[in-house]
Amino acid sequence: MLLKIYKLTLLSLVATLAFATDAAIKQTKGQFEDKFRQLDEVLPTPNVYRNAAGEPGHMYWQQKVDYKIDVKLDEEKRRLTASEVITYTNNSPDTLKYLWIQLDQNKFKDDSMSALTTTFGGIGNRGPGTQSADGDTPAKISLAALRRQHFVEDTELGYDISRVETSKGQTLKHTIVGTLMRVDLPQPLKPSKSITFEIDFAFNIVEEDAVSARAGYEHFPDDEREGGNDIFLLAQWFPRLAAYTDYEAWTNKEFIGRGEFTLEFGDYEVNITVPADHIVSSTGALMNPKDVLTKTQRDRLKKAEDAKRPVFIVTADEALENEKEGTSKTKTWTFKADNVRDFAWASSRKFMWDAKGYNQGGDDMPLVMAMSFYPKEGGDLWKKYSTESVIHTMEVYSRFSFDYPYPVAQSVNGPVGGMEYPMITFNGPRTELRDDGSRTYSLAEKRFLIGVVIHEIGHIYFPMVVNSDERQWTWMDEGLNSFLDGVAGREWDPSIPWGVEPRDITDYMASNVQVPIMTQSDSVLRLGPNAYTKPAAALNILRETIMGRELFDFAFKEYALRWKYKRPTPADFFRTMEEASGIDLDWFWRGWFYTTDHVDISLDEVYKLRLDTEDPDIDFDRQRQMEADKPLSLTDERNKAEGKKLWVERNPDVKDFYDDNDIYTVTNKERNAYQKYLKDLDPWERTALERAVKEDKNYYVMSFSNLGGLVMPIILELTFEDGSTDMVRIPAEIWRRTPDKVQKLIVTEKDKVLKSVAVDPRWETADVNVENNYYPRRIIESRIESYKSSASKAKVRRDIMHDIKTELKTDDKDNDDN
Amino acid sequence: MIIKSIWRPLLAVALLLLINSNLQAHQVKAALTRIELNPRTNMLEIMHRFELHDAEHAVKEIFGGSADIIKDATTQKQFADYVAQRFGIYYPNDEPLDISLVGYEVEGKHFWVYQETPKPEKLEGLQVVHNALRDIWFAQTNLVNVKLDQSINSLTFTDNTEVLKIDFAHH
Repeated sequence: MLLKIYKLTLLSLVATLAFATDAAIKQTKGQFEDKFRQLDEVLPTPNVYRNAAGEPGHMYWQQKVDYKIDVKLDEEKRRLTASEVITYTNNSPDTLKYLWIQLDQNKFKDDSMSALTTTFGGIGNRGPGTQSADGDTPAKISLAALRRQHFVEDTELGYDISRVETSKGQTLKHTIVGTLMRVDLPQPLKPSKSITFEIDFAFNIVEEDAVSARAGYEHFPDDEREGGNDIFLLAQWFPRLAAYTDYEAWTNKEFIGRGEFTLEFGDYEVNITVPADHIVSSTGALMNPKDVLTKTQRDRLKKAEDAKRPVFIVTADEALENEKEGTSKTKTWTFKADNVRDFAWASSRKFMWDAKGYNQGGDDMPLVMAMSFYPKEGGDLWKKYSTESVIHTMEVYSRFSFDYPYPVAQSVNGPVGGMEYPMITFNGPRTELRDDGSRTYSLAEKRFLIGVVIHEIGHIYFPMVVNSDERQWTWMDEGLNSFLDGVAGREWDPSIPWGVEPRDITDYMASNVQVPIMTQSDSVLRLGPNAYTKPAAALNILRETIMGRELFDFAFKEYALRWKYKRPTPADFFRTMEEASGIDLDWFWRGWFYTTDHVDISLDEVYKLRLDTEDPDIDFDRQRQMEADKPLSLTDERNKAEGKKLWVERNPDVKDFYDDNDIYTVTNKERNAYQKYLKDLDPWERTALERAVKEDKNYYVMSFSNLGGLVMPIILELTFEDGSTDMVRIPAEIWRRTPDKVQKLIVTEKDKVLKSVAVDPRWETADVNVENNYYPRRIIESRIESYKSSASKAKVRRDIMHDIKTELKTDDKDNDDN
Repeated sequence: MIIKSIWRPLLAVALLLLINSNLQAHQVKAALTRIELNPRTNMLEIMHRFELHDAEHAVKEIFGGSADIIKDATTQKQFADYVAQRFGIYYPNDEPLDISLVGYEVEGKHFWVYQETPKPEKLEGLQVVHNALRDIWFAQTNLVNVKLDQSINSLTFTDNTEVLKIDFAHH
């Protein structure tokens, strides 16, 4: 195989910190680095919108945008035509001359910034692959990429905007800038005023599998109906307002595909006209069931409210039957949703539909309908687990935040792998059709379904209700949600390795291709570990090791409650967690979120000390013993072995005082000095000395090094010679004056003699190197060494051919056989 | 009244790191390899770690729909061979190091493939190739952490990257 070698400079890491660093402070003397410096200088200044406690300030504001939309789905043409009425209320203190509207569908236009800047074989692409030429290898374009190319050529994509007018019919000047549209207002919009205007629009729905989007249609050519059937998933489907915030004003960055959405809360009323035999799942509550559901379906829904297991509203057989024909008639479904930041829906004649009521009680939303919509391709997998997973998620997440606030929680199967919207999520797992007509799924696919439903429904809490800015800070919703879905997963079945353990992130943290978590999403190179895994692991450590569950859960819930239906920023989260728990966490946020340091705490030495009693009769004897315990001189030992006789042995008659009294002999001179010493002591000194001598404890000095840079608590497991163990948890503050090296005195009872010490024996602190955690040093087998040694103990070693001849013991034979 | 569901205990083997909600695929498509010197055996140890869910899908694509990496030892061996064929370390003159396959195992939510080779003269300047799973998925990223003494040098195989050199920055 010929190798083309070329030097590749590792992508330069641009860590763009949003906030000013503390470059104003310069430590130019000595080497001290303050790991515990308070974060105030780095975080944005508290103000009347977001205060120092991390809660919304007394003048907190956010805009409100309400939508009334009439939309029609043309199934044949796969096209949406719609008309919307937008009411924009300006709650800010600023006067607005124009509004910015997001036209996300324009991303798919072949001259969009996204399309034009998609590099051939480039970095960070979602979607079908391409690979550029290099030396001996020709360029490659995958069939999937060709399919995308053809689809985009054949279909006109992007919005057709046909009308932008005020409700009084006055045309509004609008300027389209890629995926954004600026609408110039007839009069500047003053604070606390609103304006209502209308937009007519239409667009061709993308085929999701072809272009890789977060919504679209999926075609099923093999269904019995002539021409097959589609599942339509609609999201980012209407021109909607960009968010106007106190910290950024208009969040009008072009939608290139990766960074996600920042949106406003509001009330929606949407009329969806679809073929009469379609089933529609949508954000919101269905307002006209009598028009679109049969009596049977309505009865089943009622029954589902109290059912023990999901009830089918549309059964598998009914869905299958429904797939066969089509219709030219239409029906209009009316949905109403209050206080949501987005609106999505799905429509298909293929859906079967099950539901189960979640009676959470309380005052906000005592009954939530958990529902799943899926085609026959979802099979038993969906029948058993989708709706139940939805309910399980709400049970767990609500403990950490608030009661699920909406009337429905839905899981819909379609071409999208996993995506979240208020009250509705799109989830991908499917079963496989076997030759014998049955549908089966693997264990991993099952785990995946449960996991993705938990994760996506979890997102309805974060960020759909606790409305963090996804474009700027992916970690604020993904990191928090990854942490919580691990908690929920463990409560589903603890034998499954859910969740993020500290050890899962050590390799990434030790690598030198990372950026700090506090880096704007679009600049992050490896979004997975940076925005999901590392923050989730950090939160786990905070909960289980640093703060403990009681304090963490209280503070986390406080954060969720403070920012329910509001827009938090990272500083609000950091401040709330500290303020509500009473624990200074600045060192933790700084280390974990603002730097790329890792954890590597080493236990370097352990010295044992013993108290001198000052009493010569005791101390001198101890010293004599210490001298005797020293190793014998090699010369003396060999002399003896050779049978050499010493002079003193040959001449026993020549002796003096010093032959019988060694240097440790105690005389009254020392004893008198001791008594004088005692007399000169202050009473408190004497008491302390007497007590210490009496207790005769063991004094151990341990020295630690911080090799990784990230300060963490030092968790010690002490093992004593009598076999007992003890745990000592030293808070991270021990590193505050000397963050590189620190020493600690541990005192134990006389009979507790230390045998060995281990740092972080349970791997709680994400320490990347455990070899230097043990004293005396243990040989930590490498993974491959232990694999080799355990393989030899494998069952293959049993001599089964022989063992199989063993007779089975029964009760009567027991006494006779041995 | 809150309705609680009771679940039958399930057989454990392992699982998926649920990471991407907003990205297209449910699989992570990221693997990790550690290259470390073992001073006791004087061997260079190579440990490849794959997310089990990624591997599960990969073997179906590479070896056919009936491949089962969790339960079938044949599939496991096939996958280990597949990985070994797509990984290599070469001297600056392009001569390959002789790497042997030690074994493989499922552990928790990961699938590990182990290799080793006698310790080379020096690590710096060696070239690494790591194409496992990158030939079936363009999105696959392989992170290689090379550990020399206390420091780690990381190599990221992604997009069009073919070869990377081990290069420790000197302080």
